[in-house]
Amino acid sequence: MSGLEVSGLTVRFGGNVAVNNLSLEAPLGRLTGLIGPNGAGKTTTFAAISGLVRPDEGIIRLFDRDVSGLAAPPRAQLGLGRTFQRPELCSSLSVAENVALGWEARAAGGNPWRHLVPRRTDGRALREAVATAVELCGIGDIRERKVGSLSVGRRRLVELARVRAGGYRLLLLDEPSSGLETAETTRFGAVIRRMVDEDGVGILLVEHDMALVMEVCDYLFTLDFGERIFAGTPAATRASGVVRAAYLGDAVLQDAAG
Amino acid sequence: MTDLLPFIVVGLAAGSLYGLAGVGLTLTYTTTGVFNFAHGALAAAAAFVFFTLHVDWGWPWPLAVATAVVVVGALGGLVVERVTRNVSEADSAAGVVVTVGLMLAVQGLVQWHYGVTTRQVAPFLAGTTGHIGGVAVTAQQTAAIVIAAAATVGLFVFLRTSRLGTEMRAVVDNSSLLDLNGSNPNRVRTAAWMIGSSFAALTGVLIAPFLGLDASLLTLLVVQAFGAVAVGRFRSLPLTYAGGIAIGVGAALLTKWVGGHTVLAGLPAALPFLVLFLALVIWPPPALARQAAGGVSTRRTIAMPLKAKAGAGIVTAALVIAVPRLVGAKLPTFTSGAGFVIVFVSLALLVRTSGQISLCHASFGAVGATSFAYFASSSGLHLPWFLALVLAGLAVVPLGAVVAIPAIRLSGLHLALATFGFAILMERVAYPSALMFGALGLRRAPRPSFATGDTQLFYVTVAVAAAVCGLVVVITRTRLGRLLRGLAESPLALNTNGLNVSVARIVVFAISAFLAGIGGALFAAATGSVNGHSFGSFNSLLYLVILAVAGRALIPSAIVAAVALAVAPAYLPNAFVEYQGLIFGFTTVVLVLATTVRVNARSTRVVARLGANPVRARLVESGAST
Repeated sequence: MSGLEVSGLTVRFGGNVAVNNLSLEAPLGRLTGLIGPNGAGKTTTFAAISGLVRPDEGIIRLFDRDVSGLAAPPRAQLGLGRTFQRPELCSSLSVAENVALGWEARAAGGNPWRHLVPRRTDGRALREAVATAVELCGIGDIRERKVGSLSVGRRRLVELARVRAGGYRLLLLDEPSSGLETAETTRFGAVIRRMVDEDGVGILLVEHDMALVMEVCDYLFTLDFGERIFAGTPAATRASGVVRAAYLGDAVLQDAAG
Repeated sequence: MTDLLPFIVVGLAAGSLYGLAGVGLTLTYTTTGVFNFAHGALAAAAAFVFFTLHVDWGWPWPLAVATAVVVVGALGGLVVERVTRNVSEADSAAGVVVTVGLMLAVQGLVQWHYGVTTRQVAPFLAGTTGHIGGVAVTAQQTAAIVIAAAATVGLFVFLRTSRLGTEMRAVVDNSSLLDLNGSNPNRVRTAAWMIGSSFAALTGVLIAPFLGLDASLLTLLVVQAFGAVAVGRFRSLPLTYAGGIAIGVGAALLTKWVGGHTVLAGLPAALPFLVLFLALVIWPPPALARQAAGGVSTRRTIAMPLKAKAGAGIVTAALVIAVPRLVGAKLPTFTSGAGFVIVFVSLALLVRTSGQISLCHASFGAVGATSFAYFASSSGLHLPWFLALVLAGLAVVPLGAVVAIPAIRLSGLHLALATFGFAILMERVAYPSALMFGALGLRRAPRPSFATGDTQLFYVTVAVAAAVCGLVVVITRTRLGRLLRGLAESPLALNTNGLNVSVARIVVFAISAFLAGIGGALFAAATGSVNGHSFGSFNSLLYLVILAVAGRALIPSAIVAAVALAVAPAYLPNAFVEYQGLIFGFTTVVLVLATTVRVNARSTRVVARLGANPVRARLVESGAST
């Protein structure tokens, strides 16, 4: 299987076990959801996968390569992109500049020479990547606006455009719909679905909006207290007793079903 | 062993005092997040106050010691707290600039009032307290050892047992939480600054009898406590104290061992800085939460309209072209000024675009100047002039890389400390060596064969300076500049997009070092011959504060700074040169006091609006090291 494979991941913070012996896969061409109540360890899992937190145990494989020992930048170089719960953007730069910055960061990487002198083809490739991503995410009308003046929802779209422009094959999206209006959420679901279906990328999505999760995801992993309690299709997850118990009553899932 | 004993006794006394100063510094750093470069200047001020009271006014020594320590400690603490209050949550670069400015201001004030000549003072405690293995231990040495130990133990117990001590330890972790619990973090910080400053003051009073009263010497000696602080990993008081003693004893023993080798004569005095440097590199301390993310202020200067810019450029160019007709015999001053524009542009590139601080740019200039002399002069390689100039810049790069690479991976403060330690090492060990300024302390640098006259040389230097300015502008507008702007706001975003953040910082540091080398070489060519005094470690500090005062725009600030440093002295009374540190240090402090209010108000509003804390907390939270 090609994509992301996590096996036996354990992350401890002091005495707290944030993630315990977690295994999951997010293959290319599939929209995989990662759900669970607050504090279940979803964000920590993302941090470990993207190389921001050293796991205590476990192996992370990316496109059939063991990346457990790599730092965040080389993982990104291999094609792993991510967004953050709180968008990580440069407020004083414009939308287009922010989107371009992700591309340029990847192009510069760890090569000192490339920090100074871009490849001859870079300028054009960059402009095209930015134009496509901005159009896909529907933020063409605010291209030149400073990010500092945007709503949180718009910022999430900018961040999504940045990973799209970066050309990543596997995306980790951390609660991308929080702060979005209903219309924006719908649009957002359509955008990520298109990225999976048309471009063949793999997405691992952490999300609290159950309606969105149930609608767009192909497969779901459910976490509680750092452990994987269920894995299956949205329909199977909705029907699962363990998952209902974890969410303390089934109001949330019922809503999603209805 | 017995022949080592006298050195051990001397080392113990000195080391106790390094430890004492280091403990005060560590306390204030852990409590406030600001590393106080002015710590040593406070010690110097206290020493002068003490001897005025004791020697000139005839006060009994215990009363004089107490008065000096309490007055300087309290007053110094209040001043430092006020000056750094709004800096603590901002970037580490601002903290370095402010406290370096304060250091120069206090030191300058002392020199202005008491003069610059060293004043010998008799020990205020006469006689000896006893003999250890036939070695007389003076009362002054005993006092140093006993008082330092008592103060350190006292502070340690105070922090563990008293309420204020607990609050001090708490404010490190979470000052807003402390606020919620009814303790005022500002009051706790003020208390910490007062205690820390008192420790500095006590060190100054106790160390002066061994050294004589010399403001810059005293300032620098307490700065040796930096080594002790690094050994204490910026947080442990007992380890800091032990580190101070180890440094003191080590330096004293080295003095004995290197005796007779003139080449190594500077080594003992440089030991604390060697320790500082190695401790930072080999045993990197865990970063304090609040200083994990460096970065520059994102406040932009209002861009001048293009026409106005072009107009200003044309006027500047016309003025520069006319300079040789206007200034007559003072032209060589302007030529060295043009050389300094390059040094300042290189520093501005580093500070303004990457938020990194270098406190060794004068040393880079010195290496550039001496290598240029070697490459270009007829007694050296006699290479073509321009080739020698470029090679001089390149010669600095590996040196800069060695200093910067380990520190840049840690944080902005570590880079400032490592470069500071490096500058003093260079000054004491490398400058006198034959590789650099040599026994004569002088290097001759030739003019280009095509520009032997003063006027031609001026134009050549200006042309190089203009080319360097153009290069720097290009760098800030192209990929590296964009990456650095992004880094200033969200290192995490660039890190997870595949950028090796350290590489970007190292690249800009290397470019800066290269340009500083060229600037130093041009200065050497302009003056014909250079000595180490033109590039002392003090000069690097001065460059930084002058640049801070000179404005925010990249190129104009560098030009203003170069004029202030190199050209203005030709038109102003001698006192200006003598008190440059005081003038610019004081101005820095005043500017900080005048502007932080506004910056603070704005940032509070922004934070409230977003309902979120900025990047740095997230960075620490996710464990990303930048």
